[in-house]
Amino acid sequence: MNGALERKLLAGFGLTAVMFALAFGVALDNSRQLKNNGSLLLHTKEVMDGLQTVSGLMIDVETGVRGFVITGQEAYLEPYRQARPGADEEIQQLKQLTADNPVQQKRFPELERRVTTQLEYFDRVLRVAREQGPDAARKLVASGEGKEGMDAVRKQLDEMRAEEERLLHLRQQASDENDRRAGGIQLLLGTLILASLLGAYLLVRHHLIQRRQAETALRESEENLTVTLHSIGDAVLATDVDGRVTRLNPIAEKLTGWTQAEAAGRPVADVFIIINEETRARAVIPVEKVLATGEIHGLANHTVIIARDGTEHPIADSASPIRDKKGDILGVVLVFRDVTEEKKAEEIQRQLAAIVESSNDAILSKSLDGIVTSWNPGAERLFGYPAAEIIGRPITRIFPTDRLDEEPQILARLRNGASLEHFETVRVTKDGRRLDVSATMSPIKDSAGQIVGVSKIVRDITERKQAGKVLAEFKAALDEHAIVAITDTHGKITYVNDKFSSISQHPREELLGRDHRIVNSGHHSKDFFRDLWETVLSGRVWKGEIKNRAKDGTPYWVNTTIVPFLGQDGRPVQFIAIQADITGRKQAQDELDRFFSLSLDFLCIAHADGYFKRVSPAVTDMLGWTPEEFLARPFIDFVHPDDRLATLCEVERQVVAGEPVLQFENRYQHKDGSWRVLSWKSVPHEGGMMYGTARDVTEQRQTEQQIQKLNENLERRAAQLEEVNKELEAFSYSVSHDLRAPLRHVQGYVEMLQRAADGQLSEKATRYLKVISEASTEMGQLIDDLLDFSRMGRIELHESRENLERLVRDSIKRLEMTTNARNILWKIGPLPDVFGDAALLRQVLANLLGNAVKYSRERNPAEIEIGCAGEEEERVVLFVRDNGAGFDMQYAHKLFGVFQRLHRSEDFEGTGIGLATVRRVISRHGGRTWAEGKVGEGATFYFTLKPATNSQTSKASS
Amino acid sequence: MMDSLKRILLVDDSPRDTELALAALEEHHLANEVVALGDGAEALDYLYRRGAYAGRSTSQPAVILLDLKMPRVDGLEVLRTIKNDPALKKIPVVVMTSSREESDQIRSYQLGTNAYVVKPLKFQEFVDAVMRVGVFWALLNQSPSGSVPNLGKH
Repeated sequence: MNGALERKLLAGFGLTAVMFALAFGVALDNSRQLKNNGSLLLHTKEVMDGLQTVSGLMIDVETGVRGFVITGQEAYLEPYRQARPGADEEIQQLKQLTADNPVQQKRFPELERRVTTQLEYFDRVLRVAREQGPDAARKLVASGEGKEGMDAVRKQLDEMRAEEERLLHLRQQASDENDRRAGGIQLLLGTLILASLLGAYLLVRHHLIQRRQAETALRESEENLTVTLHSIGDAVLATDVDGRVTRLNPIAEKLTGWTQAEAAGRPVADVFIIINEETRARAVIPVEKVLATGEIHGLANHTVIIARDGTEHPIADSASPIRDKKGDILGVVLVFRDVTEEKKAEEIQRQLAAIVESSNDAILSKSLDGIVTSWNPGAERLFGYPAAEIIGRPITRIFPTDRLDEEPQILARLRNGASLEHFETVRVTKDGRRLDVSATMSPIKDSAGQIVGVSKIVRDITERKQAGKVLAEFKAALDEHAIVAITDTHGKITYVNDKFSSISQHPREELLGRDHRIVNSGHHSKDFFRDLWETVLSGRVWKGEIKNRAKDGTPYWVNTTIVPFLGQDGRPVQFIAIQADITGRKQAQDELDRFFSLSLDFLCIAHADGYFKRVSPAVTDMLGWTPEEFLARPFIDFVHPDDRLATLCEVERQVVAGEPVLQFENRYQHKDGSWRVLSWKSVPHEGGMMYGTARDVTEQRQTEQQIQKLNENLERRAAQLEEVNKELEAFSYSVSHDLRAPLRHVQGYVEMLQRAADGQLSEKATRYLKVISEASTEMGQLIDDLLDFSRMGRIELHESRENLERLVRDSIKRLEMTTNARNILWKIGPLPDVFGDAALLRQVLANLLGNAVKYSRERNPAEIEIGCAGEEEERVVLFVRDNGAGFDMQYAHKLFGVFQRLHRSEDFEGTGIGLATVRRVISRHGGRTWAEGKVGEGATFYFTLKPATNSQTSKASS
Repeated sequence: MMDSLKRILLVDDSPRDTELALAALEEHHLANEVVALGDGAEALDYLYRRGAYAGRSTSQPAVILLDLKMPRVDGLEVLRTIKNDPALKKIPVVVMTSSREESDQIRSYQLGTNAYVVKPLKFQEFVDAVMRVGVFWALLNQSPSGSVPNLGKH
């Protein structure tokens, strides 16, 4: 601003101000006076009104009383009633109004007294009128007392009114004087002011004209600046040299939260609040530095501006000095911008780069002519080429030779702006491996929307392909192995494999759309299937064995697993049943169960925990307990106390030591309390199980005990027999040796006697000697036969195959040496070979044939037949028949006894030992002997012998 | 006892058998050739020239006719001793016994007897048997040990 103008204006305004002040003082004083006078005038008026009112009231009271006294009617009393109550109050009010006036105050007690007296008078008149009648009252009135009182009141009031009027007049005069004086002063002052103002106006007008011209230029510049500042995308904040804000553009207003108007003149630090993004500490505003150095300063990085409302924005900025034409610094301009978006974009850019960088997929790009332009690490991993090696090279490097024609087609499509998604093909790695890949390709457009290249994301799907293949193989394997059916949630069959069709004998089309009742065998209860459906409908897997029926009625068993396939909502959408044909196993199990139930032996499965897990029904037959009773208690409970330790040892041996097969016996208690001896055989199985069978051997053991006892007896007997035999042998020996010697001596000496007598003995003596000799010979024969017989019983048998017919013929030949010329018809039937001791058989034949010859000597011809009469008990029955003397069957039982004879020795000589010997020999061969005969008609002697078998060889042939 | 050479040593506990045997041998004039002893013990004393026979000549009999069942030392014992003694084993021994027991025959042959003769019951057969044995063994048999059969006296 122009200093001269300013001084002139200042002087002018100063003078004007003094004059104004004087004028104002005059006016003020005048006004005060006026106000004072006005107030006094108003007060006086009020007092006068109060006096008038009291006067009025008094008159009203008088009027009322007077009317009532005259008329005696209450209605006339109304004015009195109206006025009387306010009279006292009015007096008091008047007293207060006149409190400022000492003159009036002095008069007031008199007025008060007179009014009070007068009012009391009226009251008294009224009372008299009521109590003593109107006449009395009239009298009172007539007394003049009332008139005097009333006059006194009036007089008093008038005096006071006069006083007030005087005061009013005085005050009016003073006020007028005042007005007149003030008016003069004001006129003078007003003129002076006008002059000043005129001067100032002219001055200012001149200045304003100048100013307007400058302002127009400035405004244009300012508008220009403002528009510029508004147009700047960055926030701009300017300060003066003191660091006070002078200007904010709208963006700065937004970021700081301050408006230009609010911020102007404030220290920059109040408006521009910045902190370090990380430390949250106040950051230095470089205004002071700029002011001090005049240099441009940037803000520190990571600076955040906090707006007035607390919102924060990351900013980047700089501070520059503002200089005038002379180069003096006028202030500082801070230019800053919100970098939030920038940072976000940067972050996104970074993330995208990281994604590309870290992607397992190969991400690459190529130009439209197929040259690789970018290549991420994923691509390097997948194809083996480092980026440096392939960027700038044709993409066809990763194409297998048989797919090179793909590239032109792909490029053609992409040139048209189309994308290619999940294009599955094959590519080759650097080291020549072929990869199954899935590629997604999109055109890359420049900012003008022109297609300049292709981006490509390639994924290795070798494993997925492999997995798909594996899955298909799994399905094939499953179909090969299992019976498979899929049903929906209503039980309708939606899929069956060939095996299902095959086992059920229903063609697929008969099954699809039907439910599984088509193969229901009726074997299972409704509860069974209800449980099945509840399980799978609740999303759980059901496992079990089902008996189905094929189309032709054949039942078959399937081990079944039903797996629900769950939908998005977790509820089953369909069920897959995987089944295995276990018919064979079931049948085998049934058979096994049948055998298990059938077994006479008690079969069981026991566990190392001391309990039977399964027992066959035989347990009831054997021990009386039901299987349930038997399973309910530890098995050792049933074992005889004396056998428990041994039983536990055996179990221990098998379960712990792994003894493969156990055989032992112990005693179990029958339900009836008796003890049964069980013979056990058991084998161990996994998990501490033992499979065992038990047989009741109680009777067997008892029998064995008896047999043992018998055997012991037998052995004792045999020993006794042996002893007896030995004695017998010694006896026989003795007989053989000692009995014979005397006989020989008898014969010897008889002979020597005859020789010594030398023919001198009488005939009689000679005959005697002959008898002695014959008797001793017989006795010798007897002894020999007895010894033979005895030997038959003792000697060892040497059995072999013997030709019986030959033995018979030999025997006959020997006999014929003594039969001389006898006429004997021998009949020898076909005879089998037999098994026996040849020497003893010869003895038998010699005796039997000898007897036949002997007892048939009276016959001519004698007929002797040797034959075979058939078989009994695997033995051949042989016989020797003659037509001789025969015998009485009555004595048949005596025939084979030692020394038993049925004929006198005078008739037939013999010792009576022959048949006994026969019987003994045949007995020793295990056969029997018997005889049939009739006196005079001959006899037949039977004996049985073992026939020779083919495997036996004869002594002769060997 | 004569110290002269006797060719036949007859050992039998039965005087009757001895008498009958001597009677049989007498018929062939062999009786003088016989030394008859009553049991096995005497026979062994004789053969070993001890006891009563300590002073006899060293010559041994041409044959010994030996009964089996005898008191003191029985015939089988005598047989075993003779056949186990190299000096005696070459003397022929003929068992003459009443026993027809097979076991006796087997035992005798096992012990090395030169013959086994069951004394026949009939006197004539007995005489024949003794005579044949005596003639055969005492006169005909050539034995490497003992005396040379004396045929001159016949």
